[in-house]
Amino acid sequence: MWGGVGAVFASWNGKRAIEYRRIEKIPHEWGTAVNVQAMVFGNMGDDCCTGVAFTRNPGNGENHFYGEYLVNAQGEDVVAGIRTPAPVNQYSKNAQSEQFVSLEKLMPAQYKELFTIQRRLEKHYKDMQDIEFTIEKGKLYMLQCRIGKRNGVAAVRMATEMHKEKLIDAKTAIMRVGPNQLVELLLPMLDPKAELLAPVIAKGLPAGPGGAKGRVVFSSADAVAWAAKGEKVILVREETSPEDVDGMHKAQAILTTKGGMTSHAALVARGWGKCCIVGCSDIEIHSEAKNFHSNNGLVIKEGDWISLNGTKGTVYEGSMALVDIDIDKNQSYKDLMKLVDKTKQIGVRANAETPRDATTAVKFGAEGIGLFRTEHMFYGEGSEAPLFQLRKMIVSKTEKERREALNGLFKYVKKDVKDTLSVMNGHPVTIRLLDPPLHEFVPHDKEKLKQLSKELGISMGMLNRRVLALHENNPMLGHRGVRLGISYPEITEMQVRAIFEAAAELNKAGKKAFPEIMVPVTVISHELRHQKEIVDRVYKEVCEKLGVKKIPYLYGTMIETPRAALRADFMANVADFFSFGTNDLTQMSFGFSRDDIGGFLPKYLDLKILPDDPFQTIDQEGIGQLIKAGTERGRVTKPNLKVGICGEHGGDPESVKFCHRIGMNYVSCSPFRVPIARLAAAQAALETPRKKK
Amino acid sequence: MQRKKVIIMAKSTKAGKYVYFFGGGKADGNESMKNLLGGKGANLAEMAGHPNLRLPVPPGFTVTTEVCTYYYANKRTYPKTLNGQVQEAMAKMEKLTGKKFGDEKNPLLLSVRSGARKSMPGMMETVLNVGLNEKTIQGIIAQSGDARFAYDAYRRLIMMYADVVMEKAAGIEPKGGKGIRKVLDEKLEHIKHSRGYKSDTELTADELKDLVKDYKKTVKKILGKDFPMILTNKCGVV
Repeated sequence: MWGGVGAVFASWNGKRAIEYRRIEKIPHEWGTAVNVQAMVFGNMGDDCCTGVAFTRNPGNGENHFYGEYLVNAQGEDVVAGIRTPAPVNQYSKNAQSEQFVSLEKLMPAQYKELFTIQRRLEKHYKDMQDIEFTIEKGKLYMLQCRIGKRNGVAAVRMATEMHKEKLIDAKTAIMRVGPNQLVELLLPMLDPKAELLAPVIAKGLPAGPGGAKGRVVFSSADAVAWAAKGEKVILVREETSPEDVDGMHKAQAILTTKGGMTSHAALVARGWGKCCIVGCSDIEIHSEAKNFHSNNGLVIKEGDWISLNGTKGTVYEGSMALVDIDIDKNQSYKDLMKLVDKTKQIGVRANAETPRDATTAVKFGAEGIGLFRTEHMFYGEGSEAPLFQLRKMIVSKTEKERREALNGLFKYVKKDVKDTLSVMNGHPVTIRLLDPPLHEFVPHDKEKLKQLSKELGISMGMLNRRVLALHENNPMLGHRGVRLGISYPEITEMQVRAIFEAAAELNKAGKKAFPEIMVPVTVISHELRHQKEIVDRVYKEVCEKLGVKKIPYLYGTMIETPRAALRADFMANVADFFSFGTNDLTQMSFGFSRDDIGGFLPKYLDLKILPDDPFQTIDQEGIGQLIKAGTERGRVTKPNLKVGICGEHGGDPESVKFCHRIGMNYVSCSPFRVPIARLAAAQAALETPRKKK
Repeated sequence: MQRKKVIIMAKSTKAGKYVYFFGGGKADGNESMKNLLGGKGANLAEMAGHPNLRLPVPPGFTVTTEVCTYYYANKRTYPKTLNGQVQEAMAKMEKLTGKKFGDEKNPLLLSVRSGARKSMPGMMETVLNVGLNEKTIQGIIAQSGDARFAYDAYRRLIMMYADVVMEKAAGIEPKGGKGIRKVLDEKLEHIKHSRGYKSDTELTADELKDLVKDYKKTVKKILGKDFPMILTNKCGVV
C-alpha cells in the first residue's frame, strides 16, 4: 500500500502531469492527496457493473440524467474506451449504444436508487455532478462525485435553467459561465447548405459542438509539428490518452473511433470547448499506412482535408465553409444575457466601421461604437475610389492640390460615417480621425504609381521624389495621428465637416445621430486646442449651411501615449471624453513593437519574466497604473469625464474586470467579443460592486 | 525558499492530522477542504459524512496534500506520525468491512488513487486491488466463488503495480521506450488473439492464472525485482 501512496506522490511530478498542469495553469506546488479505499468490484459477474454519469447532459445542458455503464467491468474500462459502454437509461442512448440494454432495464432497483442519489447530489451541491458508481453483486456504491465539466452551450443552459428552477440565484447563474465559454455559442459551424449537399462519410458521437475543418493527422506529435507550421489539423485516433494532450490542444478538432461520451477525448475536448467526435466506428484507422477507411470504401490519407460537425457527430470529406450561427435562437443565451445586463455597471461597445459590423455589434448587445476607424474605408473591397483620392492627397505638394483631393474624398467619408451613424441610431459612435502614417497608403508597385502620376499630371520622377520624402525610419512614432491634423489642418477640417453634415442630415431626417469626435495619438492639450478650433469653426459653418441650431456631439481624445495619460488633467480641460488606446499605450510604455514581439515574448512567458502577453491582457501593474492615473486625473478636472477603452483588451475578461474596478464608463471590443465583455462586466459588478450614485 | 517551506510544514505538523477517515455514515473531512484533501477526497468525505447525504461510499481515508508537500520538501520521506494515523484508519476500515488487510481467509483489498485540488483526468496514477498475493487470492476465490474474477483482479494489480510503482515511481526508463504496462498488455492481447477472443471477459480462470505466472516472471526479468509477495502496511516498506 505504501508503494501505491509513494507512487501517487511521485506521479505528481511525472512528465504528463506537469504538461497538463502547464496547459490548465494549475500551480505545481499544490501537491496531491491520496485516497485509499476499500475495493468494490464491478467485475465480479453479471450482477455487477460500473459506470460514469452526469446529473445533466454535459454536451447540451439538458436536464436529464445521462450516463454510461459496463456490465462486469472495472471503472477504468469505461473511461479508457476499451469497450463501448451501454446507456444508463433510454435518454442516454446513441447510435453506438442503441442495441445495448440500459441499466434502467437491467437492474431497475439499483437504477432507481442511483437516480434518487444523483438528484440528491445535485440538490446538495447545487450544480451538475459527474459521478462514478459501481454495483457489486446487486449493491450500489458511490465512488466519486465532482462538479462536472461541460461545454459552453451546456454551461449557459444549466445556469439559466437552474436559476429558473430556483436551485441557484441570479448571481450564481452569472458566475457559473466562464466568459470565454461564451465563445463556443458563437462558434462558427459548418455551412448548413454545403452540409446538406455533402455525403456523410462517417458518424460518431457529438462530444464537442461547433464545426471544424482541417488536415488529417494520426498522432499527437504530428499534430504538434503540423500546427507549428501553421497548418490546421484534425487529430484522428482510435482513442486518446493523457499522452496526447499536447496534440489535442493544437488540433482544430479531435476524431476518435472508440470510446463514449465519457472517454478521455470527450472529457478533455469538453473542457476546452473544442469540436470533437468520439466513438466513430464507421471508420477504420490504418496507422502504418497513415490513412483511414470509411465504411463505404473511401480512403482518407494523412494531410487530406476533412470537416466535422461536432454538434451532430458527422464527418465529411474535404474543406467545408464555416458560417456564423444565429445567437438569437438560443433562448438560454438570451435568458443569461438578460441577467447580465441587469447586473453590469459598465457599458459595452464595439469596434466597428461598416454598417454590417455595426449591425452585428448591435445584435450582440453593443451599446454604441467605441472605435470607428476612418481609415478603414481605404482597405479592402470598394476602397479603390476613395483610396485613389487619398493617394492624390498624400502626394499633393501645395494646399491647393491637397484641398482639391480632399474635396474628392469628402463624399466617401461622409457616406461612410453616415451609414454607420444611421445603423447605430441614438447610440454613440466614436469616430477616430485619420490615424496611420500617410506613406502606408502609397502604392509600391510600378503600375499603380504610373497611374497615379498620369492622373495627377506629374512626372514619375517628381512623384518618386514626393513618395521618398514621406519615408520614415520609425513610422509608428512618426508623422501620424493628430500630427497629421496639425501639419495639414485641412485633413481634419474635411473629416469633421463630413461627420457634422452626416449627423445633421440624419437628425433632420428624424434619426438620432450621436457622433463623438476622437483625436488620436495626442501628447499635450495644445494639440487638442489646435484641433478644437477647427472643429468649432466647421460646426458653425455646417449648422448655418444646413439651417440647424445644434448637432449633438462630443469632442475627445484617445489616450495612447504615456505622456497623455500623465497629463490627463490638462487633456481633460479640452476633452469631453477619453478612450484609452491600450494597444499603442502598451506598445509605447513597454517599448515593445507589437509586430516584433514574436522574437522575444515567447521566451519571456516561458521564463515567467512576464506573467502574460501584455497585448492580450492588460498589464495591470504597469499599464493599468497609467490608465488608472489618467482616469483619476482627468476626472479631477472634469468629474463627469466619460472614460472608455478601445484596444484589443476590451474583449479580454480580466481586462474588462479591471476597467470596471477603476471606474470606466465603457469598454469597446470587436463585435464577436461583445457578449464575452458583457458577461465579464456583470461578473466584475458582482465581485466588486460599485456604489450606486 | 526550500528552507522556508520546511518551516511552514513543521508548523502545520503541529496540527498534525494527515489522515482523514470516511465511511459508515461519518467523515473527518468535508467538501470545503479541497485544498487539503484534494477534490476527490473532499467529495468522498462529503458524500459519506454529510447529514443530507450519507451515501453508500466504501470506507477509506485520504492522505492530505500536506504530506505530498512534505514528501518533496524532505527527500521523499513521510512525516513521522503518518504511519500511526494510517494504522488507525485501516483498523476502522477493517472493522466496518469485517475484512482484514493481508488475511488469507477474508482479505481487505484496497484502491489507491490520487486526487489533486482540481481534477486532472487520467493524468495521475491509480493502483487497484492492493492486498492481493498468492495467499490472499485464495480467500478471494473462496469468498467470491469465482477464480476467474480473482485472477483477473490479480493480473490487473500486477500490471498497474509494475507500471506505476516498480517502473514509473522508481524512475526506471523503459528500454526502447516500451514500458512494462505495454509489454504485459501485449501478452494479454497475444493470448486473446491465439484463442480467437474478442473481449477480456472471454479468458478462462486457468488462462488468467497462467497469465499471472507469466506476468510475474516478466516483471522479474524486465524490472529485476519480484512483484512483492509479502504484504506490509508499515510505512516506507513495500
